[in-house]
Amino acid sequence: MSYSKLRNFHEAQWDEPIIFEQSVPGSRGILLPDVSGEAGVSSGKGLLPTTLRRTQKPALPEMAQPQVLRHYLRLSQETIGQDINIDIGLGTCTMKYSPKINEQFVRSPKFAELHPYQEDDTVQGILKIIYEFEQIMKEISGLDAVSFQAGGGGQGIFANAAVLKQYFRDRGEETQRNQIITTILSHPLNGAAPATKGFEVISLYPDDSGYPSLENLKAVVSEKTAGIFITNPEDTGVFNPIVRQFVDVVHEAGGLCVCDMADYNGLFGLVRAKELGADMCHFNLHKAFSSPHGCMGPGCAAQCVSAELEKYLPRPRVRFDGQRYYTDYDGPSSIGKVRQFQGSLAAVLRAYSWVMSLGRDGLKAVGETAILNNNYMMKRLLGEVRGITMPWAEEAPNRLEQVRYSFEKLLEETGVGAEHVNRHMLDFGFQRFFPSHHPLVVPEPYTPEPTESYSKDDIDEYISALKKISDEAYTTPEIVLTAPHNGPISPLEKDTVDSVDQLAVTWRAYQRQHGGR
Amino acid sequence: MADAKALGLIVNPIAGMGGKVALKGTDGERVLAAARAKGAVPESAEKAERAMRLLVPYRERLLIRTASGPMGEDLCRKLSLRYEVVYRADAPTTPADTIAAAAAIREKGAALLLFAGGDGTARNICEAVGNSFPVLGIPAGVKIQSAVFALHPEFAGAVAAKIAQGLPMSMLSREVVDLDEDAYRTGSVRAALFGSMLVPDQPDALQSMKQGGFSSEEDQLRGAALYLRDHMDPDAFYAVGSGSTAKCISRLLGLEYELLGVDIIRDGALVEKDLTEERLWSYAQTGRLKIIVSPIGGQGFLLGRGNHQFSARVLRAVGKENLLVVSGEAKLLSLPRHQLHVDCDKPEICRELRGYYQVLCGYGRFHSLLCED
Repeated sequence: MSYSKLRNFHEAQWDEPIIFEQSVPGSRGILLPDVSGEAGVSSGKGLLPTTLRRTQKPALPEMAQPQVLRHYLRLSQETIGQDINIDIGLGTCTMKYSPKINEQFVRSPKFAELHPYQEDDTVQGILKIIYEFEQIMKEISGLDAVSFQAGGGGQGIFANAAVLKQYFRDRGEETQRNQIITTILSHPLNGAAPATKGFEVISLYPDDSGYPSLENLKAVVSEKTAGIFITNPEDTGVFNPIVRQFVDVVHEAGGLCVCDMADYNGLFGLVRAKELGADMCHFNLHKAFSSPHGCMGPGCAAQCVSAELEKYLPRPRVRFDGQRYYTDYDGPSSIGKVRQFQGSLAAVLRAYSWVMSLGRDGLKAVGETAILNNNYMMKRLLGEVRGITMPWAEEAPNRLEQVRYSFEKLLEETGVGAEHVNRHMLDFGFQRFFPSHHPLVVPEPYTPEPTESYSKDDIDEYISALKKISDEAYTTPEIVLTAPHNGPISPLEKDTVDSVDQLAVTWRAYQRQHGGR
Repeated sequence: MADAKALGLIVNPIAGMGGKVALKGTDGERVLAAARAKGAVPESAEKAERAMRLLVPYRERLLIRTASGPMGEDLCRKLSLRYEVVYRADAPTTPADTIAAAAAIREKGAALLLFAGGDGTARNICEAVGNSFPVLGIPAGVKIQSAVFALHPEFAGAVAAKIAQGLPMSMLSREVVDLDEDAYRTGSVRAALFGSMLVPDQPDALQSMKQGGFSSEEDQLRGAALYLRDHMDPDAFYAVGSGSTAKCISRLLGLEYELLGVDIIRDGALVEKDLTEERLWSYAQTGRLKIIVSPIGGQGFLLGRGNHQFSARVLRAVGKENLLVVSGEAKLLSLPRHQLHVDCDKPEICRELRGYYQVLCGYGRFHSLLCED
């Protein structure tokens, strides 16, 4: 069998030491003229509190310009990311092309040099963009008010949980309504964020249809129910056709519905939170709305709520009086701030630009193309790659924007599991794929998401790699079991640190745990 | 082949034969004969093969130390694995053969001793090698309550394959428990903790261990126990069922407990340990009895498997609403179709106990699962 689309890839290996190890005392990038005779030197004393003042010079590396440039270019060759590989594997992250023109906007001095403490009259431009983008997000969600303050999807869910808490506090039901309902296949933060706000969490398992049964929901709904945190579709890509009944059951019991729209890519132009019956939802501007995430970040959630809940949104809000945009800090019922100022405005600016460049029809084409790409890939994978299966394949043969597959059959038949396949993907120039959120309901999971950015050729090349790996698993499994082969390092054993006693997030913490300073 | 890696293999050829004919294990010659009479066929060889197949790619660098015939030699020959017979057994094999074979393998040395069987086999291995020799069970028995088994035969093979590749692996100590099968069959459960053995620290692959999540089973059960403690009715009697999961509350409260028996606690104190059905019935009659149980991993039975003290009359008096279910998340994920089951001698009581249960998996964290009989 030929894999014509596979390339002869090898990852760069520079064996590059960390920059501190390359320091040469006395080496300099810039030689500054000696002006000690001409200019007075301030000691800085009196300007800084004693406790903040350094007693020793910082231990920065001393290097010349060419060595610095070389160092970072080498490191850049040892990374892989959305712009250099076909990033289909990183499902639920919605890896799509982030138009570079938008980088010019956020790097423009007109934006980059703004200060959050500037007077409203001097920042009318960015206030207008925030206000207008809120109107756009109101239309996309169908809800009535939007805050961009949350710095990521998880914080968006947290902010919605905070609104939920405040809503029942105002109604005098805070103590009684202390439970939320979610599903085991929702992003784990749909349980974890409300738990942080003090809610008890009930998770529903999917039945044979791929989503939870209405009976299961009815069994757990009670006078304690504050709300349901629901995702549709979940990471499986299965659309829950009875979602409206779910929401109605919770509403009838007096609870609210919070919809996780982080993975919105397959719903653009097709489904709105309002029609699902949601009282609140959040979108990730750094995913579906093309603002890059990961190293280029930052993240930003659009928190959308109904008119009744607007008073609980974080402050300040941006308002328009017909002539002038202004920030409104007034809000005695507000949950307060979840982040400083107005949020990650770079993400807002990129998302605004992206939406404006596409328009309504363009957004719908995004959703439709994402679904088409995913279903094309699914049909080929299930038909041509031995050992891969799709849970609930008969009950839900078509999926929206992504699929959670399983390599359990491959593992049972060849000893090659999802983790082995994942490592071998690196040998063909693809970055590691995303297996699954926790807990692992689907065994040996694999969750790719071929967004609208990928061409048919891109998808075909990616599938070729999976086909080759599967063929190898059945004929020469040792090749897969010992991968990667075309990278600078051999397989590394992974370990999961889950005990607070073992966790050290800084070098100093590690030293303390190990008897050091 | 001076640097060949040695692994040990012991297959208990009769393990698991009682399960499908409802004999609750195959300990004892009389039961084995009964199992054969009811049409039972050996399954452990097939399970062991599913695991050992994963070692075939490494056959060049492996030496399997094993026992004769069906205890491992036959399988090695079938898979063309290099092997050395370090113990010879006559058919039919007995627990004494398992013990002697394990001792011989320990004597000769092995990076890991794989054994295919159930709790009874684990107990025999434990007797021979104690807590100082790395082992891993290939699940092939009727009763798998000991935490020294891989989740599936393939997972045992995958862990052994890592060791075959020379990957370093840390070990940890896990419990070996076994029921007294004769007592189990008659419904009067007597069980014991037999010791502990060293198993590879590979949480994704092992029974009753965390499933690669962000919180460990220990954390989850501690959270669940704290929640139970904070929400206990001080007037109620709590019958804490068998198994280390249900006993999380006893451990948190620092109370003595009978690992595979039923204990009564009330208002943070132990009232009575290791109760019989008669004693439980006397508490049930007070109308203030609640029950804390945990499903059996891989099966999902809340009742009727190893806790027959919870009889139909006790369960009827307690009622579904007073049945509290506790579990780590990994155990729930191991259940076929994520369903719970109950079994008791009165079908009408089983029917009353059907429906959804909110299983406590952490502090205020519940998973809603369907229970059928």
